[in-house]
Amino acid sequence: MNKEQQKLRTMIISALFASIIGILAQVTIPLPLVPITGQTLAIGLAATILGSRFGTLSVLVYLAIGCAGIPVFAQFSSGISALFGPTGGYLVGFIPTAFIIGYYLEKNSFRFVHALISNIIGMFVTLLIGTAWLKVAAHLSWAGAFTGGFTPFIIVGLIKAALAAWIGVTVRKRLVTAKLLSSNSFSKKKSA
Amino acid sequence: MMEKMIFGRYVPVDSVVHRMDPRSKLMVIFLFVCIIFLANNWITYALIAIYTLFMLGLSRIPGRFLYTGLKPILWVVLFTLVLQILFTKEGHVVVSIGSVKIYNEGIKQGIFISLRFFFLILMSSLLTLTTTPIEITDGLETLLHPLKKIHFPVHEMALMMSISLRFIPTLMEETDKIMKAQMARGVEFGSGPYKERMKAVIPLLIPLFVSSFKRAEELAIAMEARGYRGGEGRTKYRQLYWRLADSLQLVALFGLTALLFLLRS
Repeated sequence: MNKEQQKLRTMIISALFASIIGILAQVTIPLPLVPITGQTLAIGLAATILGSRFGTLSVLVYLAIGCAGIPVFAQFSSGISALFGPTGGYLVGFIPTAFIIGYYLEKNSFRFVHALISNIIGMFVTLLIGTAWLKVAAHLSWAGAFTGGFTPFIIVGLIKAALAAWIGVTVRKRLVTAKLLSSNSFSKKKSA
Repeated sequence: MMEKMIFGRYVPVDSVVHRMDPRSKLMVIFLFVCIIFLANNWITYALIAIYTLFMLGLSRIPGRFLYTGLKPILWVVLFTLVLQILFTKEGHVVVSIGSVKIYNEGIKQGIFISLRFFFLILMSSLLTLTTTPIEITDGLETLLHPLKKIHFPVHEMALMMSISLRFIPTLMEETDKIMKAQMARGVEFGSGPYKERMKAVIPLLIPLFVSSFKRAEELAIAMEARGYRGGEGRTKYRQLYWRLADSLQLVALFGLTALLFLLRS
């Protein structure tokens, strides 16, 4: 398989991943206290399986189809308003998050520890961008923005990050066993 | 639900706004998002309100569609209103309950910022209500074309968007099928100990990813067989047409921008 063909396949896979993020965002895993939506999980998964470049691209495509009106954001919401609204930063934050998770894992290995570290860093990046956005968009003080948009989500975020890391590593391992991914490099499908 | 996953929030009515070029609509929304921050007193907010209502009238979208679009965001607007009122400490105290003091500036700011979001949501809903997702994709591809200069993969992204749009319904059906198949094998998604529930995600995700990889392979072969070789020199099936209404719409918005600059305090 030459480079062009490889690229086309990775592109299509990333596009399908954007759809999958949109579908998983509607799935809630019921947990005590806070239900966890599949959105964060799916972002982590996309980055773990596709790597920094195409993981980020698939998150971009996900946000773009959401803006185009397909109800793929949490709770079946959609539209540019979701992005420009006060909570839009949490969505925009997914872009650097996916890149960071992918990049960190590319530089290190696909062990649970690394996945956990990268997902936790990713979670903090999402929360920080979301909070900064909230502060600017809603004209709040830093104290107000942090009380409303940062502190309440830290513990949930840590649980989510741990879950995303565990599921990401497990799924990746299975896909490698199924020969759909090669174990050392990202998103390179072994040529049949 | 399935219909929503295909057409998004598009409402098929015949109106001037529906017939406009997606490029002009995208440009207007983008500018509107920027200029709405210019409004800072009652007159400027009134101008924005008049403009938004005028555009909504032109689009002939029935009110209930607007309401369903607004509903999920309303609580966010309320949430910011409350935060605003609680955390602004300017002007004089209007109400004080225990240690919580509410200032008049807080209320005024809260109302202004809620109004800003309200109009922003209305205007951007207008885009998705009058334009199909695929039209928006085409519009974006042409508008973002200059970004190619800095090596941003514009064509690739537009292609990925259309593929993603095309496969959302398919993959949704697939997810549903896999869930049912696993439930038939005794997997419980919504009950049981939490550890089991977490584990139930794996047999849902693996088949979904495996089938996605297969679909990607099939689609790639189909595209190569038809001679797909990237965006260079590719012609389009859907053509975009820029009409008089599109130019007028932009002129109207520039007018609004000028007025906002003059009347803001």
